[in-house]
Amino acid sequence: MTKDQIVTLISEIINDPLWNEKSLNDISEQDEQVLTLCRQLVHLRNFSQALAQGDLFYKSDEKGVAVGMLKQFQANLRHLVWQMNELAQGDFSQNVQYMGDFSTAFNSLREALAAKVDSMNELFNRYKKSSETDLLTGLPNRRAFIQRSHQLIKHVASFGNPISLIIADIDHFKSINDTFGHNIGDSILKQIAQCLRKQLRSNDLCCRWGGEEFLFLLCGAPLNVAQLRAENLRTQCANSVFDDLPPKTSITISLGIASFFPKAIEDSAITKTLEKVISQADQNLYHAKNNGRNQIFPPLTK
Amino acid sequence: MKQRQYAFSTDLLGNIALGRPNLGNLTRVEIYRLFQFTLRDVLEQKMSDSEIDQCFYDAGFLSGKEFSKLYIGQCDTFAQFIANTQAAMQSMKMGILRVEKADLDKLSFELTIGEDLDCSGLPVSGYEICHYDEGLIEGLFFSFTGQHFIVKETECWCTGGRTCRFSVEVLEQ
Repeated sequence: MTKDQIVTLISEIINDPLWNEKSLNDISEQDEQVLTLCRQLVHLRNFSQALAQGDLFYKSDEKGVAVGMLKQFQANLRHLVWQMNELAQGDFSQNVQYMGDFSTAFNSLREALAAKVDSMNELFNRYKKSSETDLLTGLPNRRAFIQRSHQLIKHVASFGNPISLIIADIDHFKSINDTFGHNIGDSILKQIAQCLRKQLRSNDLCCRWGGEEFLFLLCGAPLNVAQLRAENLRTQCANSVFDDLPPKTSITISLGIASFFPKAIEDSAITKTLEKVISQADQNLYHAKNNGRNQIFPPLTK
Repeated sequence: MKQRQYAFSTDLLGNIALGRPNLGNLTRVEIYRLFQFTLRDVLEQKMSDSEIDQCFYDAGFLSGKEFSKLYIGQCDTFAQFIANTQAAMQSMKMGILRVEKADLDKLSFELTIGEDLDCSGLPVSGYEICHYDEGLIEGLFFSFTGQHFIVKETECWCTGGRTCRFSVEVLEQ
């Protein structure tokens, strides 16, 4: 090949998008060095094209500085893909290094994302807490109680221990509201909630069930233990002093108790069991009210 | 049985602050390579290539386990394991560890080590030389997972790559 032919061929390999690799077949074996050089150029061209098209697994067995640079770039991109996937799964520790301005941009993006996710998590937790809390008393609300009780029941069921439910209802609450006003009524609700909260143990659950009713779930407590705990709740309330009320005005509660041994671990079955036991505790509360209030039902046997 | 003189213990790393108050704990890469390749030269005259490669692999495996205990510590997640290993290898200037693929279900990984202490900058010989690194990587993964792996260098500076690439596959029992 003449010098001009060689220059033209190399120029076409580098610059002509329509150049066809088959034209290398026309080079005679006598020009072996030219052929080798052209094949290296073709490899660089194909490797560059693969990278430009996003093919990060183009296999290159060639050696040398130029192809080495492309391999390094390919390795950087492959690692970057893994890092992006990690980032997508919430791993914000990923840091890009040795990639110039791209490292700075990626790391800034990662920091900004981490900060956003942190603030969203904080917001989420705040809203979640507020959606699970009774605003007036600060106790868990009915929805939170149901959710947590499912988890506790599953846990207790695995040990074969009993569970007791207590419904407490403030006696004559309507007349408190009517006599002293709703603001005082709210204040009484808050103070009763505080009084009840103080009696909770670490694995008890309590919520404002609705109106002036509070519901307790006592893990591992059979009926006789629940009766003692209910009686304690009753006396604590009866002995409390309420600042907003005239002296010697006492507030009392009545309590209904029901116990069961949880067997089910399916959510639907737990829901049914809970409904049944709450209904039973509610009927017992009705008995306590009918028997004169400020008492528990079933009562402690002497 | 003859009592071993050099069963590895971290005592053999020595008290550097006491022993090298003026020179400190740094040395140059050339000296590390001088040690490694003169040792290899001598071994090559006494053992087969595969035996030497296995010795380097086994030494790397032991080193990986010790390195893990000394500089990586307990990791709860793969991401934490990689992050700690990257940081430790970088601070020791051993190389730049990167992950290209990680299948945690199949325990199959593809890693690269850039600017590798053993080989980066060596002449292109046409064959992979980082057997010590292979063993070291297995030692690290063994420490993290408790399982043995087959670590194979698939691309090396010495085969014309710019980074060393390793496939890491769990050894099926």
